[in-house]
Amino acid sequence: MRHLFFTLTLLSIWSCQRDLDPAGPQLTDLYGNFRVLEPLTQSAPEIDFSTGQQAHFTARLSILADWQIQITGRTSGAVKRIIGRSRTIDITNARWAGETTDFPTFREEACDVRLTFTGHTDTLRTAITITGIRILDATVLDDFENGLRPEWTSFVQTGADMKFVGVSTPPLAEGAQYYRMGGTVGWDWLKGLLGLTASAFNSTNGFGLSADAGSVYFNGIFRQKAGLNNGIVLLRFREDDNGDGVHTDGGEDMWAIEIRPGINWSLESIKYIDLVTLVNGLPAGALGNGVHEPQKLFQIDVLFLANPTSGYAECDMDLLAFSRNEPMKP
Amino acid sequence: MKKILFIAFIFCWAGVWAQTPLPKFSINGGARAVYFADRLAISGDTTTLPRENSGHVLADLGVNVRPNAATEVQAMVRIRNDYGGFWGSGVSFDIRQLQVKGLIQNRFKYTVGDMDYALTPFTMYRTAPLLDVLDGVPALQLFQQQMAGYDVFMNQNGSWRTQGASLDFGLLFRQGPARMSNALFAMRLRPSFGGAATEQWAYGGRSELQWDATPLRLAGTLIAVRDMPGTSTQTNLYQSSVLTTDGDFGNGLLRLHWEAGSSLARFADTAFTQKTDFFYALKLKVGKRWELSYREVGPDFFSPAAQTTAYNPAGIPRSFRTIGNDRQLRAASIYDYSREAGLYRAGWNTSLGNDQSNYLLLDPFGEATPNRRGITLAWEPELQLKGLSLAVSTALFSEIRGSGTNELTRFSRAEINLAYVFRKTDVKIMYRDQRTWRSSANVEVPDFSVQQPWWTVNIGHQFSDIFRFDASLLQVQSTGFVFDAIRNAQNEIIDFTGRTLNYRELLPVAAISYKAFGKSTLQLGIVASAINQSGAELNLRSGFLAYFIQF
Repeated sequence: MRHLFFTLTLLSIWSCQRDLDPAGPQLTDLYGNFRVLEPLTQSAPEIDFSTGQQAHFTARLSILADWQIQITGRTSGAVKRIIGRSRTIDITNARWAGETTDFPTFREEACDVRLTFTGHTDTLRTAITITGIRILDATVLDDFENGLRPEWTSFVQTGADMKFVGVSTPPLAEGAQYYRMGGTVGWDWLKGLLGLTASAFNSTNGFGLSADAGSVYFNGIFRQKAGLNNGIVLLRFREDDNGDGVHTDGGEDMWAIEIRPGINWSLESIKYIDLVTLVNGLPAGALGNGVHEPQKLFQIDVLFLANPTSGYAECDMDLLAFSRNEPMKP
Repeated sequence: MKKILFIAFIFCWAGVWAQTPLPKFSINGGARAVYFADRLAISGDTTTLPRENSGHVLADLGVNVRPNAATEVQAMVRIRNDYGGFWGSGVSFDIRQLQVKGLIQNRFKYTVGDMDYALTPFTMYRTAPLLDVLDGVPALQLFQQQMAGYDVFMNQNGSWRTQGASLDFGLLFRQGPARMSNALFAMRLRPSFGGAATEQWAYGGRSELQWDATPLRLAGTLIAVRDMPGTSTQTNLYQSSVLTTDGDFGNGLLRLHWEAGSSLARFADTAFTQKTDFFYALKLKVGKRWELSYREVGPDFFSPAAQTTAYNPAGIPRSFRTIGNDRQLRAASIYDYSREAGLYRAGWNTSLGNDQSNYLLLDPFGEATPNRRGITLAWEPELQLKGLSLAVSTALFSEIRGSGTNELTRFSRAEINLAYVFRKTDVKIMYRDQRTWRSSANVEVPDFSVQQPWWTVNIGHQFSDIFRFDASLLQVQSTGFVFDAIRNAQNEIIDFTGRTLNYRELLPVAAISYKAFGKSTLQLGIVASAINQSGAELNLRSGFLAYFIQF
């Protein structure tokens, strides 16, 4: 016992194994000269995302560098950006499955690919052609390609210049058409609302959502008319907590979120479990059992709101969908 | 257990109590009065006001109560008044110390409350390698010890001021080792502030075996630092453990001292980064004049209580806090470390922080600086000339793990200390040559090459037993090209900043001191600090009057 400390210490020393790889970033990466050792190439000149194919890009540099690959659709103008910091660009850090960073989404089209570096003027270029567009891994409520789905119920206030219609005027978000909500209602915040019940969406499976509220995401692409900032899109998710086939106002959970879109198309993805109860726009206590239960989602409401004194308001939306485990990647 | 003669270690302290009755109540403490008249000069600076005067008088009033023969209570309050405080508005009252200590059944010595605690240089030691340079400048050293160091409870034995409890007891043996002394401690390093922070504690112990028949001493030390689960919502908790053994063997002509151990640190990041490594240090003393030592401290050996420097290199001084037309924060220099307590740390850092290239590269975190291996040789020759003494030492170290390259950085240090006393005049000269170098295999990467010479000269004259005059000159310098390592909270190097280093700090000091009573000093003098960094000049001058007394 007297030599316990001594023995333990020696044992602990012998059990150590040192990592002798140089600490920190390589100095040659930080202070060496920047050179392109291998040019930018794509994995294939043509890619069919609809069959699950993925493209990747390769290049090799002399030092560690911050880089950005920008893929631009020649027809759609869609943009996908991939950024990284490495010496080697390959399938591990420059893979593309057809997603979009700046809307609209890509079409079947030829794309320009450009590789640039922070702090260096070099620009490398190549091209790739999309022969089949990406299939979304999501439950699409509506992509508004044919205006509003007939299953929606709608209410539009009587006001001036009311617009609740499908629009195909560029800039587009996804596909060839999106849905526009606009108008002037001088006596009420509400300009109009859309409602979609689970049974109307699918009489057998409803919205078909998982019971795990942490894995369910609601997604949508939104924008607001340039020069305006008064439009609010209020999304409400009514649950049927007691399973009686209806949602009882004030007695069952109604989760909500307010979206105030910017002037450019932007994907909004909300995890179901992060939804809150809103009363007059402010968080409030739950109205029902207080448990997020996506499998009990009864109805989705889309309300278009604006301050009645603020004049004309207009917001566009596209591709409303539920995704699982992660935000939708259109 | 039969070998144990009795489980009681009779402390000298206890013996003294038993034999010499001490007063039940006594007053102790200290007082000081200082005044600085500072002047700043920077070429081109039209914004900073050039004069700053400051001063204060304070008294630390301690009450020592011994209610019985086995208990002692020490409490101390500080009353401070900054000169210029208007009708008491500049007066502050603080509790400086609260401590209870005593004996349990004359066998166990306990301390509760404020404790000054030190273990070994690799487990718990308040390291301050930069302050070595003040050895050659007595006036500044007095300031450092009596002002900044005193305020933050720095002691010569490298102790840290902590709050907690300790227990000491001893064992005597009939055979084998003659005695065993043991110490256990627990310290609260950080309160939880009602859940706003995670409470942190340190605990551990030390056991030491001493032989009488053979010149051998063996000891083991453990110190663990733990974030306490449940004291905040944090679930990622910091843990550190350092376990070492040390000892001495031999006496007279040859004496060997060693310490070896390992550390395990688990950081509070989401990846639960875990680092473990070991060190060992050997020191061989040959006679009274030679000393040879070798030490190897692994790159991932982390011991917060031993690697946290007493001063904070990133601290910002209070005097002339912002300078220049663009109001930049002024970096602390030796001038500031000698007098500002705010530049010192009160607790341990769990991360090393960034490099401190302006002053030290070989051992910026003291003897336990990680990622170093090398030898040191010291020699104090016997000189024929009366009054002359000489001490020479040299050290050669290298990294164990390369920094950003496989090439290892190497460090050298050669130091010569010469002292000469002639009648009532003494001269003390120190010169330290420090070099750091690493060749780069890649022509595009600059070589790491830094020279850091330090020197001090002090001429003192003792006019009488109570009057003394000292004139000193100190210069530290760093020139070359350096790669400063930038570390994250897990002590991993995440970046390097390469830069040309051109730093020089020159401090002339002249002071006359008067020591009328045992522990009191009255000092009047002037000090200047001329800093040249990459061509930019900063000049500070101070006249000072200071009085220190301890009672």
